This record gives sequence, C-alpha cells and structure tokens, in this order.
Amino acid sequence: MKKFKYIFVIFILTLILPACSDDMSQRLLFEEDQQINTERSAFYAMTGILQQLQKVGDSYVIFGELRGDLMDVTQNSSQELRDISNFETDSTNSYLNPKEYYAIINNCNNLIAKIDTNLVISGSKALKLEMSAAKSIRAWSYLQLFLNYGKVYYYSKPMLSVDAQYSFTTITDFTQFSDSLIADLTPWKPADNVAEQFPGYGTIGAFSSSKLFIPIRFVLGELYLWRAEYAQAAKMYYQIIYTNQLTVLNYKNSWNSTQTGYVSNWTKLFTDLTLNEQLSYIGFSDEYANNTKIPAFTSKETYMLAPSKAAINTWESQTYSFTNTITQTGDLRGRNGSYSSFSELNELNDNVEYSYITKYKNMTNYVSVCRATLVYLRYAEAVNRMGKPSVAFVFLKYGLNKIILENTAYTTQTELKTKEAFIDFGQSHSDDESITLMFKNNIGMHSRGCGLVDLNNSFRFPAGVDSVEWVEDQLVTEYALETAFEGNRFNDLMRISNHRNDPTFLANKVAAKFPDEQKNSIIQLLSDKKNWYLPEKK
Amino acid sequence: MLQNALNAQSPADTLFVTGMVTDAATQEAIQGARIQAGKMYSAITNETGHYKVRLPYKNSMLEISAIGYLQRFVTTRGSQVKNVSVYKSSFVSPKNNPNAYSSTDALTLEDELQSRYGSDIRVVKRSGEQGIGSNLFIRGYNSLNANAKPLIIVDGVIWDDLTNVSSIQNGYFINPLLDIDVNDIESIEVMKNASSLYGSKAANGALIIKTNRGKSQATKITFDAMTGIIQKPQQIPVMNAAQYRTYVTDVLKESDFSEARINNLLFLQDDPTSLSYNKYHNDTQWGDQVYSNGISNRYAVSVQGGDEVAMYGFSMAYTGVNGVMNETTMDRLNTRFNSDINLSKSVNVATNISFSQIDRELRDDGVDARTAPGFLSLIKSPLFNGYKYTTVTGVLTDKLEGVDDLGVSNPLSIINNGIGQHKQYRFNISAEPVWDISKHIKISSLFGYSINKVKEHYFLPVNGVSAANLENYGMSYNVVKDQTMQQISVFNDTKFKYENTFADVHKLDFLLGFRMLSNRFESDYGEGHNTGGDYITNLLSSLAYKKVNGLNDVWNSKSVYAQASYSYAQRYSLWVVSSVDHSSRFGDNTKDGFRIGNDTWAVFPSVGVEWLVTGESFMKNMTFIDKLKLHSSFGLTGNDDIGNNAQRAYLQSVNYMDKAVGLKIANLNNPTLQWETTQKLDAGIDIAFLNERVNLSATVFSHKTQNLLTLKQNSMASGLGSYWTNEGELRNTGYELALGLKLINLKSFKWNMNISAAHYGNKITALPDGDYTTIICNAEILSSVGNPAGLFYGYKSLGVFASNEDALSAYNGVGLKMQNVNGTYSSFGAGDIHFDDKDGNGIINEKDKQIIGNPNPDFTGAAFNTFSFNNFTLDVVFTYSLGNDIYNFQRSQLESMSNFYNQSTAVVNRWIANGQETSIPKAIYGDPVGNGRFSDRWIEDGSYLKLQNIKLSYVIPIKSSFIDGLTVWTSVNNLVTFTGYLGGDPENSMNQSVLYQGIDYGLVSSGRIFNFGLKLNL
Repeated sequence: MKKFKYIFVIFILTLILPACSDDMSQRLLFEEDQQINTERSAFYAMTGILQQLQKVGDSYVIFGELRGDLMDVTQNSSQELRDISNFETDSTNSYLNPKEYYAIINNCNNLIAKIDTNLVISGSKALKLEMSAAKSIRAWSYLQLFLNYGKVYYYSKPMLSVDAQYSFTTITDFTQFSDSLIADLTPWKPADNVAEQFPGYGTIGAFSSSKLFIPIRFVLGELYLWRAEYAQAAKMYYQIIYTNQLTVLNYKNSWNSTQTGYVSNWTKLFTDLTLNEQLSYIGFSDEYANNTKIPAFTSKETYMLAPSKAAINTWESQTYSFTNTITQTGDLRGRNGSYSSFSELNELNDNVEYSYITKYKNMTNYVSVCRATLVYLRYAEAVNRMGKPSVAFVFLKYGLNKIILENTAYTTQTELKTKEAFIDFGQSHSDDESITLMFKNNIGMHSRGCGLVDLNNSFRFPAGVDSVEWVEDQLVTEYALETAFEGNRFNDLMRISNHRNDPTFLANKVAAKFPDEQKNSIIQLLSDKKNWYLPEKK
Repeated sequence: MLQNALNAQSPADTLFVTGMVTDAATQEAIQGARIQAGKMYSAITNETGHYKVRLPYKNSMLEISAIGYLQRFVTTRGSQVKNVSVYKSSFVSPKNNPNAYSSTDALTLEDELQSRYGSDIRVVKRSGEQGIGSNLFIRGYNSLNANAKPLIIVDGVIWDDLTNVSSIQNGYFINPLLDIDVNDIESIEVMKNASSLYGSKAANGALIIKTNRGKSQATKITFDAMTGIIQKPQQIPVMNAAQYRTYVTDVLKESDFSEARINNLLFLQDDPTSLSYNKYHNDTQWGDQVYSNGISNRYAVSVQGGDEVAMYGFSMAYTGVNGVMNETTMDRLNTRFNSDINLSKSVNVATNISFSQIDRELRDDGVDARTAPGFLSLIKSPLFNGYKYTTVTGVLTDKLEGVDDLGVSNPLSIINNGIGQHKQYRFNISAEPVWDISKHIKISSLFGYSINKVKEHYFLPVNGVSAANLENYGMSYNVVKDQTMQQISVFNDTKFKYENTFADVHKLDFLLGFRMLSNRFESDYGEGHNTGGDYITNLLSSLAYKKVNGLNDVWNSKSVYAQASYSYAQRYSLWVVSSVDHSSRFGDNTKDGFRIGNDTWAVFPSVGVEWLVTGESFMKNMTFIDKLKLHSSFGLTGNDDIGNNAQRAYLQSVNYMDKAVGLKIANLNNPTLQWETTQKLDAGIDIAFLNERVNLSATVFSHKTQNLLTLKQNSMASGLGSYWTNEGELRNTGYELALGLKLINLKSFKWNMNISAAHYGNKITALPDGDYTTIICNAEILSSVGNPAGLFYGYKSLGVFASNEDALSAYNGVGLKMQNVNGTYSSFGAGDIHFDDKDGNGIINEKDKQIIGNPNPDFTGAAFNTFSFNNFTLDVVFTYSLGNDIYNFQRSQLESMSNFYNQSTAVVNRWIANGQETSIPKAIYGDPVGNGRFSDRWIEDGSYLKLQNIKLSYVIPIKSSFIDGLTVWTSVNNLVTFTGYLGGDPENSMNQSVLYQGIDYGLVSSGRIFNFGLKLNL
C-alpha cells in the first residue's frame, strides 16, 4: 500500500498546479436576483438603458430625415434606404426598429418597478434622479414610436415572462396616449424655475453623463405641442431656457469683413460640448462596436445619405445681409456648416458636382436629441400658435430680450398684455437684473447664417397674410436651416400639417425634393395621413 | 469435474446432454473445453472432446469456452446430443475484441469507433488535425438546436463537458475525449436502444466507456511504443505562376486599379535585369512552405497487479506530435490509476484517478484569408516568395517578407511569429464503495469529481499580416486573444441492486438508483488589438478595440431511476426501465412532467423484450439456423441540453462607451421550457447460420422527437428577439445492418469479415414560426417542415452563357438581371453563370432559391477484415458514406475568381472568349453579378469509400521467463479514399451542431499516417 500513497502525492500536486483561479465576475444576472437599491445597482440598470438608446440613434436620424424634404438618397444608397425615401418601406426593412424602442421601454419599466426611491444616502433620496431619468427616456421612446408607427403597445410594468409578453394596451389615439405620459411625467417634473437634475455619473466616454439623459420638460413640451396645448408647451420650453440659461448667442457663420472668406462659429455649437447648446444626445464611442453609422453614411467616401436639392435651395435662396442694402444670397449654415460639395468625372467624362452632408463631421459620435436652438424654435412655434406671431418673429429677426420685446416697432404689445411668466425675457425686471442681462445678448435666430438680419428690410411681415401662418412658414424654414439632418424634420412637418389640419402641407414639402415626374404621385400619397406611418417590422 | 457431472444424480435422463467439442477449422477434438449450463452445472471435455452435462431445465443453453477459442452459446432445443465446433478467437467481432484498444494507433477513441462500430454510430472526423476527434451521431439527428451528440459515460461517471464552448483558435475543437488515452480503454458500449436508463440525457444514445483495471494478482507490465509519420494533407490544386499571371491580368482589367497602377505592378514586368525581378518572379508552392510531414510518437507504460486486498491498474502515456502545419505541436500526458480495494469481505471500493494534460501549439485553420496559413497557402500568389531577396543582388535571405503587393498575408509570418497556445487539463477522481449486503443485494455509491481547464493564448502578428477593418471599430493590425475556461463537475450515483434466480429458470434483476450531477463553469475571454509591435504579445488594458466577455454558469441535474428485468429460461426476457429526472434547466410550469416543490421532474418510461427463438423445442429440426433472436424496445428519452438559463428571465451585462458596464434584460422567463422528448421504437433480429459462419443482425428504428427546442419570436412589445420554446417536431427512421462472416477458416489462415450499413431518414414535421434559413459560411441552411434537417438552400446553376446571344435568350431576348445593393440592376452576360430563374420573372433574386443539396447520407458504415496467418494478423478497415452532399466552402473561395487570390487549377478553363463552351464562368473583379454566390456549383456529392486503416502485426515467438509477449506492428491510416469529392477530404466537419453538417470549412485534411509500434508484455 506504500506505493499508493506515493502515487497519490503526484496526483495532488498535478491538481494544484493548473488550478489557479481568476476573478469571478458575474455576467448574467437572474431577474429575481436584481435589486435596484444601491447607487451602483441603479447605475448598472441605467447604463443598460443608455446602451439600448444607442440602438435607436441611427434610425432616429434616418427615418426623421430621409422621409423629410432635406435628405435624399444617392447612387450608393441601398434599396432599403431608397424605399424609405420613396415611402415604400416594407415590413422587412432592416432600419425598422420598433423592437429596439420597446427594449428601452421594457428596461425602463424594469428600473422603475424595482428602484427603491426611498433610499437615503447623505440626507438625500439618492435614486430619485434615476427614476425621473428613466421615466423621461421611456416617454420619449413611446413618443418616437407613436410618431413613427401611429400606435404604441402601451405597458408600464416590466415584461419579464413570455406569458406576459402580450399584456399591453394598443393605443392609437394621441390624446389618450399623451394623457398617460403626461400623468406619468408631471409628478417628476422639477418645480418651476428649478433646474432639472440628472444622475451624476461624471464623464462617460467623451460625454458629460448628465447630457445623456433627456430633460423631462422637453418631453412634456413635445407632448403638449403635439396636443396643440401651446401655452403648456411654451411654458415647458421656457422653463428649459430659463433654468438652463439658454441664449441665442453669436455662434454664427458669417462673411469676413472683406467678404472674401467665412468666419465659422456656428459649427462650434456641434463640436464644443462644453457649451450648453447640446442639452441631450445619444452618445456613442468607438468601443465595443456600438458607434453610430450616420457620420459614415453621410461621408464623402460612403456617400449614402445626401442633402436634397430642396434643402440646398432653401439655404441658397436666403438673403445674407451685410447692411440694409448690401446683400448676398445664401445662408452660411448651409454650404459652410451643413453640407459641402465635390466634383467627379462621370462615365461620360462630364464633371458632376455632388453635395454631401458635413454636419456629422462636427457631431463626433453623438446624435442630438435636444439642443438649445431647437428648444427656442419649438418655443417660438408654440408662442406663435398662441397668437403671438410678433414675439415669434422677433426671435427670428432680432432676438428675444427686454429691449426688443419692449420696442413697439418690433413687437406687437398686445401680444404681451397677458404677461405670461413664460414670455419673460427681462421685461418684468429692471435693466440690470440677471435675467435681463442674460437675455440681453439674444440675437435673431436667422442671423446665425444670414448676417445682419435685423437690417434686412425685406425680412418682415408681408401685408395681407395670416401672420401666424406666415411666421410658422418662416419657422419651418428656420428649422431646415438650423436643424437639418438632425432627425426632426419629418415629425416637424407632420406636426405643423396637423396644426394646420392640412396634410398637403407635408405632402408638398416632401414632394419638393423629388423630380418633377414623381412630385404628383408623392403629393397624392402623402395627402393621406395613413401613409405617414411606417409599417411594423415583421 | 467431468466425473462429477457424469456421476451426478439426476431425476430424469432427459436433463442430460452429451456431445463433442471440435475445432471448426480442423475438426479436431478439443480437450479441456468448459461447458456451462445455467449457473450450477458444468463439465469439461475429455481427451476425445466429449462431454456430458446436466441441464438445469429442458432446452437450456450451453456456454462453451476453450482457451484460444471464441466463446460459443448453443441451445439444446430439446435434443440430448449436441456436438459443437468452435472458432479460433481471431474471429472475434471488432467491437467485442478485448484487445481492441490496446496497441492501437488511434490518438482519440473516435478513430476506433468508426471502424469497429460501423453501423452503430456515425463518426465524422472533424479534420486532419491530430487528436481533434469526431462528431458522433447515433441513429440520425434527434435534435435541431440542442446537443445531438451521445452522452459520454466514463467508468460510470457522466462527462458533461465544456458544453458549447469553442476555442479561440479558428478551426480547432476542444475535444474532451482526447483526455482519455485509447490504450487505457477496456471496453466501449454503444447504447442506442429505447432504454431510458439515462432519461433526460439519453435521446442521442450513450457511449459507455470503461477503463482498464487490475484483473489478476500476477503483476503485468506492458511497454508500448509507437512512432508515426503523418503525410502532408491533400489540398485542392492551385494554379502555378504562369497560370496565375494570366488569371490576374484578366481580373485586373475590371478592377478599380488604374491603368497606371496596373502598369506599375512589378510582377507584371518582365525585365530580368530589374532590381525587383526576383521578388516578383517566383513559382512558390505555398502548400510545401506551410505543410510538411509530421511525426507522432507515443510511449506508454502500464502496470497491473495486486493481492487479495487490493488490485490496481496504473498507466502513464506520453504522446508527442509535430503537426503537418509547420510549428504546430501537441504534447499529451495521460496518467491513470485505477484500484479495487477489499475493505472487508463484503465491502470493496473501486477508485479511479486520472490526470491528463494537453499542450498544443496551433494556428488558425479553415477559410480565413487573413490568418489561416493553410488557406493562405492556397490563395497566396505563387509569384511571391515567403522570404526577402536582397534589393541589389537579388539573393534570397532568411528574412520574412511582408504583406504582398496584392494585400495578402505571408503565411510564413503567421507560422513563425504567431502564437496559438492551447492548454487543456483534466483531473478526475472517483470512488465507488460497494457493499454486498447479501448474496442477492448490493448497495453502491459512486462519487466523482472532475476539474477541467482550458487556457488559450493567441497572437496574430502585424508583420506579414494584412490589416483588417473591423466594422465600427477601425483598423486592426495585430490582435491578442486570451481565454480561460474551467469546469468543475461533481457526480454521484447511488444504487441498490437486487438479483436472484428462482428455480434455475426465473432470473430477476432489480435496480433502483439515484444520480446527481452538478457543474460549475466559468469562462473569461479578452481580446485587444494593435499592441504597437510584434514584441508585445500579451493582453494589456492599453490595447485598442477591447472586447471582454465570459460566462459563469451553474447547472445541475438529478435522476431517480429503476430497472427491473426478468428472463425465463434464457429464452424470453423483458425489461422495464424508468427514470424520473430533474434539471436546473427545466422551467417550473412545463407541459409534461410533474412538480415537487419548485422542481419539475420529467418521467421517462421504457420497455424491452427479447425472444431467443432458437431456444425453443420447435426449432429442433431447423439445425441450419444456429441462432435466431428477436428483440424490440420502446420508450421515451429526453434531451436536457437546452441551454443552462434559457427558461429564466435574466439581465446580461453590456459594455457602454469606454468603460461603463450596464445590465439589460436579455431573456424572458419561459416557465414552460422543458426537455426535448424523443420517443424511440426499435425492433431487430439477430440470426446466425452455417454453423455460425454467417451472423446477421438487422434493426429498424423509428424516433420521434417532440418538444423540439426551437426559437420563437417574442412579441414586439417585449423588445427582445426570440425565445426558446418546445414547439417543433422531428422524426428519424432508419435501419442498421451488420453482417459478420467467418469467410475463410483454415488451420493457419483465417479471414474474418464484418460489414455494416446504416441508414437514417430525417424529417422535420413541425416548426413554431414556419420555415426559416440559417446563414453559415455564405450558405443558407433550410429548416423546413416536411424536409430533412440541414438542407442547402440556394441558387441552381444551368451552366455558363457561352455568348451574349445565349445570355439574352435566357429571358425574353433581354436576358436575366439582378438588383445591386444600391438598387440598380446588372445583367447576366456572356461568361456569366446561367442561374435558374425559378419564378420566371427575369430577375435572379431570393425567390429563385431552391433546395440544392442534402448533407444527410443514404448509408454509412464500415467493413472490418481480419486476416490471420500463424503469428501474423492483418486488419484492413474500410469506412464509407454514400449519398451525402457537401457544401465545399473552401472551393467556392478558390473558384469565384473575383479577386487577386490564387485559384484552383479548374479556373484555367474559365470563360474567356465569346462562344466558348465551358462550365467555369469568366474571371471578373468583384464578381458584380454574383457568379460565386451560394449555388449548386459548390455542392458536391460527398460519397466516399476510404481504406481507413490497414494494420499488420506479428507476435514474435519468444520463450523467456521475463517476456510474456512481444508484438510488433505497422499500420497505415487513410491509405486511399475513393471519392469524386474535389476538396481535401470528404470526411470533415466544422461544428457538431446539426445545421453545420456537410459544410466543408476547408480544415486541414487527413493525410496518410504510417505507424510502427511495438508492445512488450512482462
């Protein structure tokens, strides 16, 4: 038996040698084991949502723009992109992604159901911010689904079992839909004049984490605006403006003094993320293959998404004012900020000019969800619809500030008689109070690409038109000049068509980018609202 | 003894039988043969070969054994005289041969399974890599998406190994059976009937392996040595330099290379005085640079012996292989120590301890145009050289060349500067105390523990390797990958056994047992790119495009099982088996089974009957039939390999941006998820006649797998893709034939032949979301109701358009066209493939796809011949497969003619001129109309007949007190394969999943192996 022991020793040794252990990180977490009652667990759940948000960034842009009048396909575009552009998207189109939105919603539902908002750390309810952030992202996702598909499968409890996967309410009525969301969001909205707070995760990737969330007031503003509750909408947007101290400053593209070159400051709004222009975006990074494809799709090299002729015309047909008499044509946010051109020989050896989108060269690794200018534009849209076209127009031409608003030459004072708190850009304050000073620098939105617009005498209310509608037309143009390719366009056109109760508004706008022979069929197609919506993916 | 039997008192003379035992070849009487009748009575033949033995009952069976002869069973059938002739033991059937696995040339036991178990098990060798093993299938495929391989049981312990994990080394398979040295195997049993003894793990049958133990107290020492030469593998022949130059000129015409760039390509310039002439004017046989003959060596020692208290068997073996791909190696150490200790008269303990360590140096294999030296050796232009020439003098140096002007890696760089470490360890320990409570009752409990570990390290250098553009990341210049996996398994099998024989004719066995298996598995994987140079080969946090992931899995199963068998007079027998199983993988609200507490238990009953017809009196006069036995079994078995967590709702970690980790819902709870259920029915006949010269057995079987594990779409609102459910159904029916022939039985020359054939037909009968295809290696694999699994689904080709007129006439005078990615259309013209426009709309698209091949064979089997002449024995083994289609993925890459890769010599006949009739289309850069798309051009008949092994051994007649025996032998593997298949080897398999069968991923093919060995017994 002695021999046995000896052999045994050899075996024990060989067992120990290879058995050095590694760290034991868990990669799957069973649902029933998940508790969101610490900052760390809340962070993991929230990050999962943010990562899922990355999955909808590209389609947000593609469906929002390629169906609109500003973006077009190219000779390199796939059939699927062409189908989207032609409103022939079928249910197998791989860009359709309602599921990705529902994944955001389900993960939000899960966080909302599990998070312990009563957890108190250092005297504050530590996880309340995650709760409101999740509610906001969930509502925004639902809104995108409704706008894209005309219906939502509404549920607010986490769906964790295959048996429960059909437990939802199908809502096709926007009022009913938005009622639920408004009721859900309102309690989590910060008090008036109090800035909204977001979970503070420091810097993630190249981004300040607080901007990876969506302000609740923005989502509420959007919901109210779609509901045509303009005052409520204007209030929400104003609260964002006020609490974030947003101003329309001199970030403009302009000709230099000798009119030989450009000064490009407008692009800084997209490159300098320390400005408070970009309030909310979907952030990406090169890591882990989750990056956005939009910069590549729009690049000169890939060239699959391009500016439409209609978009280029919109920029090119603007008037740039050096003085009240010296002008140039063209808005400098176009050729010098949103797109550029190159020429190439075609098969017939002709030099052909191609235009390509450059905006995403500046928007490194993010898709903008909410930026200051957009909030101002939405605000102007709402205020205009409230019957205050001159307030909306001074926003475009002169800038919203005390001096302009009190100047009877610019602003119709009857529009200000009602003294809404959300139309206060210093008027109810003295000249040296901070609010007055803050807005003092507001310039006319249109001047960001069109020079000294306030000197442009032809940019004014024409006689004998419905001034609300005229201002709205200017805003529609301004949306194009300022926010083209960012993903909002089709929904902007939808919303304004709805408010005008005129589907042909959208139809005519979109048809503008099509060749003449196709225009009529597009107008006909889009005059029927049901063709505004995407098919559900198979 | 004989005297005893003769003198035994008997109640009636009819209960005696007398006769004579003779040698079947010489008819000479055999003295000393033992005749056993029942348990109680036996006799020994006298010098004239005669015997008389008492029978326990009428028609009882006699068991005749004599040294050097095969045991033989004969039935008396009521007669009182029974003369029996017996055969020399060289007539043993290959699967019953007790020496089958000693002195084998097989590195892994699958290599022996195919030849010995021809129709019992289908063995598909994965590749020619030494020891990589084979995929095993018993009676067709009983699953689509779950595991389809048989259960492996080694010395009573279930091996549930590194399930569904893959090596980071492309084309390599982590083979758990390599942990067993084949020479340590005593026996293998292939369990394929309907028995539900292994319940939810038995749907795919079982392989029950027993290792050698000490048998006798006399110490037996065996030395084994073997050395082998492994020939370079067969490759698809590729073009030489002259052919390639013409080819590449054709391709360049349509490429995006400008005329100026083409004119600057140095390999097209033929001025021998030019400084770079040598560099660009080679005729390199890359295959010879990458592959060379390999060597394998094996040395083993084993000791068996013991005393009354303890018996032991110890073995230690080293196997070393220098692979056919240069720089690849394998070193394996196997040790095993089995012992049986009698602790008391009624208690003994059997223990098994084994350790194996496998170290390999590997390189990527298969179709990988960037990293696999084997594939690179096919596609790399012969004009280049692997080594640099000096610039001015043009002298060849030993410095490696970089990536060539056409962007193709230098395979020699990967071989010399790459790293592909693979280390595999396995430690097993098991102990089984057995308590004989009484003569009839036994209790035993087998406890097993194993730790199984794999460590892999991979490095692909930057020098000489083309950069890769990783989608959404960026350029990868070099890459480091590391993987560690560890599995710890704990097993217990506790049994209560009762056996008794009543009145000599009623034999009753009863077994009640409890089995549990619990597993912990962890894997960690890390990958990083761009280390900055080839001197940094380790995974560091500073690397680019990092990927990390891993698994921590725990799963366990329990089973309560019972088996009762009854046999009457060795003529009729009946068994009933039932097992009741629980697994952590089952949902808790399943359709089948029952619940105790929170656990779902599945029930698997089965029953079997056997009738030895030749035991009956009425067979008395039908003496030409030596044996006729009918058997049948019916039962339910299951497959619990349905994913460890598929039924549970879980969140999965996701990486977000540079360093954040998040959790996302990844799976919904499906409480109804359960095992797959395979209902099995089989019936068979064993028949022997011509004095057992001819043995035939035939079995038919019919399997129906219900609750097939299939994917089903989740609702849109859930936000998730699909979930696993049990909604499909699959059927397998087939038959197995085995014929054993004692063809020549002369005094000194004998020929024993065993041929077998098996057929299965496989049909999917239900799928939850309808038919679908799965894309694997550019191929579409169809899963559709009414069809077999794994069908190839693609375009059908009707030849090559010889002229533009031909092309136009293919559809209404305008020709066929196809839509490009950007939405425009391209036309098929002269020199393009004429694809079948199934729907007749003039456009070749999705709708024209059809079934173009079936990877399921019509027949598989083997022919095992043993010739013996005095001390010489010659084994000649053929294996075959008939009627299976193979998708030759590698060839599709070598005949698509769309880039600068070197191509097979077949493309020399490509279409060049208008009117040319050929089957090979034109060469055109980028293949704009998709002539190389997945079509029947790449589907080939994979039938083959292979002379798998031929082995000659000679027992040297030594009379020595030290040496018990000395055998020398030589063998050749894969000597010749008769096949029309164009790839390296029709026997190949990239993956063990059902849907991957029949796809030739271009893994290294098996070359001939010449082995020489000797075995010395002391």
